[in-house]
Amino acid sequence: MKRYWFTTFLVFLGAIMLLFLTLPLFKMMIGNDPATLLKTLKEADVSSSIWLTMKVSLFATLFALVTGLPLAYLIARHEFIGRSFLETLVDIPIMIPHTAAGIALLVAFGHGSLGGFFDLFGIKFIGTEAGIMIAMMFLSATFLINGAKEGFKKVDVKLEKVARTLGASPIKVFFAISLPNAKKDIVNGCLMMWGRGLGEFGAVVILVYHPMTAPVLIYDRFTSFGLSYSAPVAAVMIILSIMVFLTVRFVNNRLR
Amino acid sequence: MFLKIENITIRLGKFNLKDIHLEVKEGQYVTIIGPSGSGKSILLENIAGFYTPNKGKVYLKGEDITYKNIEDINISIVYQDYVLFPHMSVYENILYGLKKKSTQKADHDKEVREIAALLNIDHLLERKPLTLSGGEMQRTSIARALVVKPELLLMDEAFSALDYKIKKEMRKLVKDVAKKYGTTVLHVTHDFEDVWAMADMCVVLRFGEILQVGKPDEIFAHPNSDFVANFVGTNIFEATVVRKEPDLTILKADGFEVYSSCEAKIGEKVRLSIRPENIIITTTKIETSAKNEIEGMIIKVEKRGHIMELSVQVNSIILIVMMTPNSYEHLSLALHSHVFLSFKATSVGLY
Repeated sequence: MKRYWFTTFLVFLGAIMLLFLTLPLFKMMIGNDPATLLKTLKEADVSSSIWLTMKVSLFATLFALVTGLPLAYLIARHEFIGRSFLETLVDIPIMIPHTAAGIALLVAFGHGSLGGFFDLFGIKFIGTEAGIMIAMMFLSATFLINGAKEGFKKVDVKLEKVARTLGASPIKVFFAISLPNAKKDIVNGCLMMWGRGLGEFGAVVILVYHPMTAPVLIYDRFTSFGLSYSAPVAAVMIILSIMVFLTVRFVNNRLR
Repeated sequence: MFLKIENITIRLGKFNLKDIHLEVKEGQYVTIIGPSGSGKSILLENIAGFYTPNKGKVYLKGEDITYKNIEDINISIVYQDYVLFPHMSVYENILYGLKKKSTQKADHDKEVREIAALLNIDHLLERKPLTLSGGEMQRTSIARALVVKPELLLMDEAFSALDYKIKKEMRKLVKDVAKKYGTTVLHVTHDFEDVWAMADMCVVLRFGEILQVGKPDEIFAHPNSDFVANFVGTNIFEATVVRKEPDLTILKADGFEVYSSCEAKIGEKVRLSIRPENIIITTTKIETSAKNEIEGMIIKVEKRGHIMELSVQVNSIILIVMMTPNSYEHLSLALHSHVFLSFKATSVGLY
């Protein structure tokens, strides 16, 4: 035992953290009986808010995939002046308070020229799904971009060089070589972004109170009716999120 | 000229490729040697189009390819670490370039199988790269590069990661396949055996500059500078030309005379070079056709694998001589033995 004292020490401290992370979730899952959870899930406002949260977070993730992936590839593959600054810009949203981010989004997209521009196309951000989407995207796209960036960095640049000499254009190389070899990290990044989007509350609640996302509904029920009324919704949301998260991660880990 | 690199200069921060000029004939096998950081790989990747030079041009079959799209230049590259597409099978790896470069789909399968058979990997076509040995991966990488029938094949230390036996096989295989396809090859290497076994021409590079270009024999036996001589392990020492005889130049080194078949003027101070493997070592004076015979003493003996490296002192000059352990034993040599060194006048280079 003396030989392994340091490992034992690490396990002891690590176990405290693991317990701290899992205990509330575990307690929430076993603290509500299945009948109550099923009943809660059948409530129209609960099921629609959970569906809305998952759907909009997915859209935010897809949009970030299309626009964030090229950015991640650029950062991973090219040396240019201001690259570190660009990386910092990508990281900033996850460091600022979410309510402050909500206010910033409200100022930028709610009114003024940018809001007016989108208004021309009938896109509004106050009290709409589009508002939920930009709030989720602003605070969680960093996870996707950074995940994809690390994935692209792991792909040997010589693979791309060889493919070019074999007659493939840069875009073909990107889709046939870079993307397939970075897909595991990209999928993980998507999963992190999607999961993080599900839980977004601070920024969403400032832009959009109605329609309610699951976190807003939980908050609404807690403040209006108390713990016993909000806990089953929270439990359902946690169980569903974990199920989706584990399924995607399991499938992704089986990908080569 | 098949490949012409015309005064290429590439500035990459602290490292520069300086005014590189090189001409290669069709079908030639060229090795590029030089210490680490001399710019060998950058030179190769510049030819392939991965760098835009600050100055100079690259011509392939008379066409300026300096700024051409990489995918439109018919050049293949093979790296030391194989760089096989990990998500594709061996078959798909070889097929990849064919699909991109040729439009006649019907023959693709036949071509893949043909080159796979030539490189003895036809039994591995369904396997993924990660399941292959180093030699098999390198064969696949070479097959993938050659199946598109490149005008020029670039090899960046392609054999460095292979063990001795596989390396030996690969040398023969690549030389044969390149010959069959008529491919011109530029091969960056650290291994002088690659140069001896494969090269028609050798280029020595240092600090981004070409120091010497010539046939391997010329480079190794007649280096043009101290650096090249030291780099390729050739004996060098100073001497002065004292007289001339028909086809011979006689030089005086530190207390002994040396005959060389190279030209130099009387009174000229020159550097003299002799390859260690061109020196015969004996314990008594022998009658040979070799013009040079000098006496010295063994001051150091080192065993290097299957070769003995002896340092023999002749007055103040130390010459390196190579021999097999069997010969060393047979001659009953030892440290401080007095020996005679013989070498031909044609083996003595001057610069």
